[in-house]
Amino acid sequence: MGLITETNYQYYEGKRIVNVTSPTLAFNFQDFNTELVDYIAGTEPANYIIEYSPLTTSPPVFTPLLLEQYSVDNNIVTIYFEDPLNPGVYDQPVPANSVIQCRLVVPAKWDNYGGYEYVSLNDIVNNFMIAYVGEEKIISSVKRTDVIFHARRGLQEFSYDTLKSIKSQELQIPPSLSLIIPQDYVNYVQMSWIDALGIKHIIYPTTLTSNPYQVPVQDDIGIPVQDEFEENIESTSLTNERWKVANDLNITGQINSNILNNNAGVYNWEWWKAAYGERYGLNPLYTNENGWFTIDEREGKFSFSSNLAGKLIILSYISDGLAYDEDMRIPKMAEEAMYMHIIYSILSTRKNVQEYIVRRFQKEKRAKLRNAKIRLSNIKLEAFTQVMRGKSKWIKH
Amino acid sequence: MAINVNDVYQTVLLILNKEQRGYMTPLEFNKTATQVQLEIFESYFEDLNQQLRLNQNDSSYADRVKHIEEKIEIFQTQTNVNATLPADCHRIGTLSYQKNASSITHTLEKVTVAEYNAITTSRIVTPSEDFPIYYINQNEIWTLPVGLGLSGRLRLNYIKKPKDIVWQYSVDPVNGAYIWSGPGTGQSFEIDDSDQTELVLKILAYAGIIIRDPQVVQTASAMAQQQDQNEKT
Repeated sequence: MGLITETNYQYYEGKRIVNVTSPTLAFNFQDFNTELVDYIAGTEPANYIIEYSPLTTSPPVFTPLLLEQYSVDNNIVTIYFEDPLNPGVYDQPVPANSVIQCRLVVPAKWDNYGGYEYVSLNDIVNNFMIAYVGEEKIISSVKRTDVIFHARRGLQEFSYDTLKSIKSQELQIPPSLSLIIPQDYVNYVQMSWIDALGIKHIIYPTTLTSNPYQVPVQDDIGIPVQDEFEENIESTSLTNERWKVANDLNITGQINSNILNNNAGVYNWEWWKAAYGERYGLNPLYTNENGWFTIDEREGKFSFSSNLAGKLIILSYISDGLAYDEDMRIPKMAEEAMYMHIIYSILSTRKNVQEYIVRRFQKEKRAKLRNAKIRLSNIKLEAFTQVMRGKSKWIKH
Repeated sequence: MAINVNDVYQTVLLILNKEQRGYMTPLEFNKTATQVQLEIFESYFEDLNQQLRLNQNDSSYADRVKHIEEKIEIFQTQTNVNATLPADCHRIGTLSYQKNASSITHTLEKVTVAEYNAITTSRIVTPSEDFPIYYINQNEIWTLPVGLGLSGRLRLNYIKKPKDIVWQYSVDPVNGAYIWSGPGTGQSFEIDDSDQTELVLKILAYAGIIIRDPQVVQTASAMAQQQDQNEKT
């Protein structure tokens, strides 16, 4: 039996139509890949809408049913129609000679598109228990909790350096020059600001400044001051304040009229400015106008340099794959690597397993992980050729 | 296939009487037969464990693991449970949960109380409806997520305990003889009929103790041992 259960229509349109020939209450939509999520009273359903049309119209003209009319459990939708004898009471089945349509909302359709690329972590655990555990196998028995642990830890590790980084946020930098770290953030991949053409310009992290983790208030002789609970009193960071108002042109060395006329910078050639001419070279590390960011661990925020105020940025980051249920899946390209990770993790932590067996699976694990990385790096010959064509260009100075 | 209780009793009496050694009353037989059936029943699990550690063949009639599993399957039972183990539950097999009639079945993992407590402190292995766990406390089933049993969709697969053997009889008012009440009365042996020989030999060994005849004990024990050896080597 094939793994795909949805029809083309269900996949592309996100809809499923059922012709009702006799009065019916329960409708089975279990061949949808998407789990239909029931609505919370007073709100829209999370990911689907039930619509109705009488067969008298051709083609059917669907109208959404009231939220009170239907509920779902395990993709079986129960639909109630109004009792004509008791208006306002919904206890009748869907009448015969009508059509019921289940329609996924747009974000649910997006989630489903391309879903065949992945296998869920639940399936990984179940498949592992079936194929790798049992009599006459290397692992004769194992607690499923252990398998779940190793599978989830594997997903975390794979998320850090093997799987594609797909998490990103488009954000506007506010006047405060700081943005809160995303909820499922583990590490950043890239920070870039977007120009008018939509092109990315990389924002680099900097060590020019830093964000102090503690800012104790001090007395006259420099000793931290405590409150009535004998805890140090914290203040705001002056370093951060100064960095926020810092003119980045004073760091990059870029010349503009302001520097030329009003600042004692190194480019001011007026005779009483002693600094003139004392700057012998630019440090390429700091001479870019894309700005900088730092991570303020104290406040859990990204802090940006002042020239980025109001800019549109894209923050690409990695999570650990365990934050949300829909994250708990891995690409099929890395499925075998995950099995090998689990089997090695179990064997290497179990007593009385011969070392040569542990070694064998250590090698298997490494080999499969390497394969997964190569596959997921998505190197296509045509793309590689295109990049290499640039080699023939002259490098101009 | 069950073993007829009367066949066994008559065979035992025949062997005993043939040697003019003594008589085994129905009461003695019922108690002894129950004891022997439990011995043989318990040995299934140890035999299976032993055979699983050996290389097996794939033949139709000589696969010992398959053969022992077939003997155990006679006692395999499935029932829906709420939170209490059935009274005849001897060994728990699997406990499974179905969210509703058409959803897939999830097997609950059995853990000890200590493991249960440890698992609840770890967020990475937190049990869910997809991967639920349970432990047994005084015949009560405790699940996590809590309350799976309340849904009525917990299904227990277990090995039930064999029933006590009863050779049902009446007493002849004329000569005081014990008369069997006939088929369908009392309780026959539930164990597999391939164990009938071993069953008779073991009851004979106990009968030998009852009638204080060491020769019967030794002969029956030796024969039973020889058969046992043959089955396992």
